[in-house]
Amino acid sequence: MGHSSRLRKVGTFVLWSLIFAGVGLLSWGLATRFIPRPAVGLIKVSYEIWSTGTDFDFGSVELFQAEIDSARRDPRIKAVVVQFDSPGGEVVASQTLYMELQALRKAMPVVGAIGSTAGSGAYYAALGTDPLYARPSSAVGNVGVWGYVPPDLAVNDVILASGPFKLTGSNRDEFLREIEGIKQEFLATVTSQRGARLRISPEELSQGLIYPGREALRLGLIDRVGTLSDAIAAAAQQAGIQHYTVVDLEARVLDTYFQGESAFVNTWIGAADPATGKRTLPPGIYMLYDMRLRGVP
Amino acid sequence: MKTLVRLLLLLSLVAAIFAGRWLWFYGNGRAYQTPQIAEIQADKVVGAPTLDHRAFADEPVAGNGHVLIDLAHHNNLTRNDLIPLQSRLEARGVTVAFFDGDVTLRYALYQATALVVLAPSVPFTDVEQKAIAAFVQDGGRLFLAADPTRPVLSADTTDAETAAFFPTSAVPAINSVANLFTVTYFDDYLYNLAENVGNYRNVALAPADARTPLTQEVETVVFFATHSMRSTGTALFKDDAAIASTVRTGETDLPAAVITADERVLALGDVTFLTAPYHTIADNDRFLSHIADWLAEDTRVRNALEDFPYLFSQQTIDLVQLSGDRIDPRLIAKGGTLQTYFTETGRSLAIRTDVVPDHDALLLGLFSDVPTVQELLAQNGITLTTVAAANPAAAVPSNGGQTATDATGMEQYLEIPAMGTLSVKGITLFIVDCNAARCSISIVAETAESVASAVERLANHNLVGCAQAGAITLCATEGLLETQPKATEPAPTKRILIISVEAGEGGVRTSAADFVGMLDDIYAVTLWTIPDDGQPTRADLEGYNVYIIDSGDYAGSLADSPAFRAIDRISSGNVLLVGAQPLPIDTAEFEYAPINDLVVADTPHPLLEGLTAGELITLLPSESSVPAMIISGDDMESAILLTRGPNSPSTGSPALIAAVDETSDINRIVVAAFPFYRLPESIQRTLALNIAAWLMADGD
Repeated sequence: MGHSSRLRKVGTFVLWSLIFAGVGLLSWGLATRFIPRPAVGLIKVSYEIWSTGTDFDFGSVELFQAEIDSARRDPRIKAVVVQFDSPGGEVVASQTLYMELQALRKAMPVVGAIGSTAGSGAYYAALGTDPLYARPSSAVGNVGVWGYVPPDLAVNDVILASGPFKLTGSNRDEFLREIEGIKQEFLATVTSQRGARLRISPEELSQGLIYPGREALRLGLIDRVGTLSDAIAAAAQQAGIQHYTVVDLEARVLDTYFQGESAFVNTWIGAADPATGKRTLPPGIYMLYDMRLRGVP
Repeated sequence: MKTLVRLLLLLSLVAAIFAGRWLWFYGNGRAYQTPQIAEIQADKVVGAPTLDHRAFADEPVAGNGHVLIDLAHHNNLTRNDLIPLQSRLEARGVTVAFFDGDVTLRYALYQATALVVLAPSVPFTDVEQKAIAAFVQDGGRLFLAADPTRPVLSADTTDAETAAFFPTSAVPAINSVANLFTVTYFDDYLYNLAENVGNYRNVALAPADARTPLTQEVETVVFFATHSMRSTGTALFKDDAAIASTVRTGETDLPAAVITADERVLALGDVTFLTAPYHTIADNDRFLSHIADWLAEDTRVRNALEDFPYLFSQQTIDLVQLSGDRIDPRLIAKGGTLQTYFTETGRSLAIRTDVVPDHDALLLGLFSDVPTVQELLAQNGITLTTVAAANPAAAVPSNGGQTATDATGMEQYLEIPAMGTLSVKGITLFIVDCNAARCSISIVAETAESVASAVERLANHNLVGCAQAGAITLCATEGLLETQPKATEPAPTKRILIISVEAGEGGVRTSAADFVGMLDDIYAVTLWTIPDDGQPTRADLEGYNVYIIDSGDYAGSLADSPAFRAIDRISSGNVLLVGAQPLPIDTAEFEYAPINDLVVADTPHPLLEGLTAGELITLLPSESSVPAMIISGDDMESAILLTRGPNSPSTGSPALIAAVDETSDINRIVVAAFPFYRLPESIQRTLALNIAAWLMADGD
């Protein structure tokens, strides 16, 4: 074998090595692109749940919808964990969040993790997750609804309306039926979603009590006592992923919405003043566990 | 070949990279399985049923009586709320009146056969409680109802939501009456989560097996939020294991309606069921009619003098002069007064010379007309003894009672069972004699003038200074009346408003409660506490004769207090300003110093009646140690009645002054620059009564 032959072999080896390295790198790059590191999306329900119509404000269901949409569009996100630290909020907003989470569950696992509180409407929304985690002393439950009785307006010659309830939309008795219907919907949601796991009657549940996490587990209102990390791990396991990352969907959506500018997000008009605990609720019906009503000034 | 192998290796590398990455992330062998999400069955979601409004034809049976409905205790309801009950009562021929505090409750109850107290939010005073207890004791009926949705009315309208969420319970108010009859309302509400009427707090109640007339033919009554209570009386409705209390966890004996005190007191835990439209639901209307029937039964026993004139059941009452041949013209005059009074109560007076059997009558006689009155007295176990004054020892009773010598030199004594023996001098004797057919009141006194005064006394309902034993009442005829201060006369139409600047928190207080205790027996007293009731409006201040504005043991910036500004809105009436800082002016202009004692001025003045000139009054210790305002005596046109004592700084400075200004809206004003509660009790009472009487007077 001559010198030139050795040189050719070395050259061929180097060439193939370069080809292997290049293809390897190219493949790695393509694999990274086509098989991205999976992620678990994190949605934080940390405020009263309410609806603005369009804007993204803290606690607004529109923000949650954008986060859910973001998770659905992102191929990396294979599961979502919803962390609840909320006393609930408006009825329709809570129901919207619940229904959005249920819809998302058809595409990927949606696991709930209750931090300090999932009261009333927040618990309603949490029923759209499975399994549902809570800490031993998390505040869970407060099933029910409340609202301000609409005024009974008299007939007068100053304001003319086309129907007796046109101005108020309701009266005391109709309002009573309305909130009773919403309560029944809530109870039916609990019984349907918790199913055989539930060990409390609808009547007892309708008392509106708040249960500590451990008691909520005994009653079948949650599935496990655990932390957010446990919930994330469970979501990943359900999705069949490992070595995943966690994506804060709220931060992502707000960053996208505000395009890198410092996000200035309003709090809800009915949000409790952090200093006094007082709030001014607009007229409406609420699935809200109002801490102020427990005696907090 | 080699190339082919290399290409295969290259593809393997590519596949390995992809496979490795996939396995790294997704290689645990599990794939997400879309779960079956349970749907809600629509038929399980049902709203509350429509309320069961029922038609009910009331069939009133004529009753009688006079039902008094209390509206003087900040009752948390409207006149409209009362219409269903009121109309049922009127359909039964019962007269309905409202008690708004213009007169004392005791006075208002003279006529009443039943008292209705619904949703009070201010407790009844001790005096009112005694009046109600006596009323029920006499057979009067009492209907009590409170309601957890009707708390104490909030004076703060600026934060209605907070007031709605954090109401002040009105249970103490209803319990101030209910407790007199072994009924205790709990500060709770009942609920039924399993079977209710549209809402957990709308509880349906079934009558107890042992029916009372109140629950006849009643199958279901719906209460719209009801207190539970505890009582030794009879529960009207069954215990229901599904009904629970928000407070009495685990208890099953949770009556919401009881009847007690020999079925003279009815207590209910709900008011709303009486109101429109809720009285039309289930058997509420029938129950309401039964309540009206119950209230329309006049079971009040009237056989005492204080029941005058309501102890007379006949429309015409005879006025009969037992002594003398002719009708005394003074009696005719007094009879006119009586006639007016009787007319107001639906009665008339007929002056007769002879007693007509079975007629209601006022019989008038003189002790001197022994043959006539002796028989009357003997019928009531009273012995009238007449002896000659020359030998009083022969007749003076063993207890040494006073002797009375008339113009003929004779002395007369009365020996009355349970009262002993006493002289007739200065005495008016009232004897009530009632049977099933008629009632009579006999009035016997020393002189015709005394008898006439006694008649007037009856018309004025003035039994002050009288002693009673069964059917017999003894009153001091005239002297007592003339020497008593004006304040001791019953003046139910005289109204006093006491405005208390603060509620007494922080170890300091006003004397408002003391004033109420001292004046409530005589005047219609209303207490207005600024922190609870808010700033009084001009309308709130209308209709009072006297205003007491008590700044208590406070100092500092009280000049800005709403109470002090209230004085500007008083359009008529007289005022007592009292407290450590009594004057509603800039406090910076005044000096303050501790006050330990007072000296009574040597000034003849009605306010000082009962006090001795120069008397040193040592004040009780201050609860706050706040110094009191020093009022300058210079250029003072007012009467200085008390001054600071020798143990107080600024000795001799005025501490109590009184002024009259006929040109002002406020004619008379008294300023007391010390907390009234610091006065010794006897002096406090004397001074309070004197001040009230003087301020009540129209002019000097």
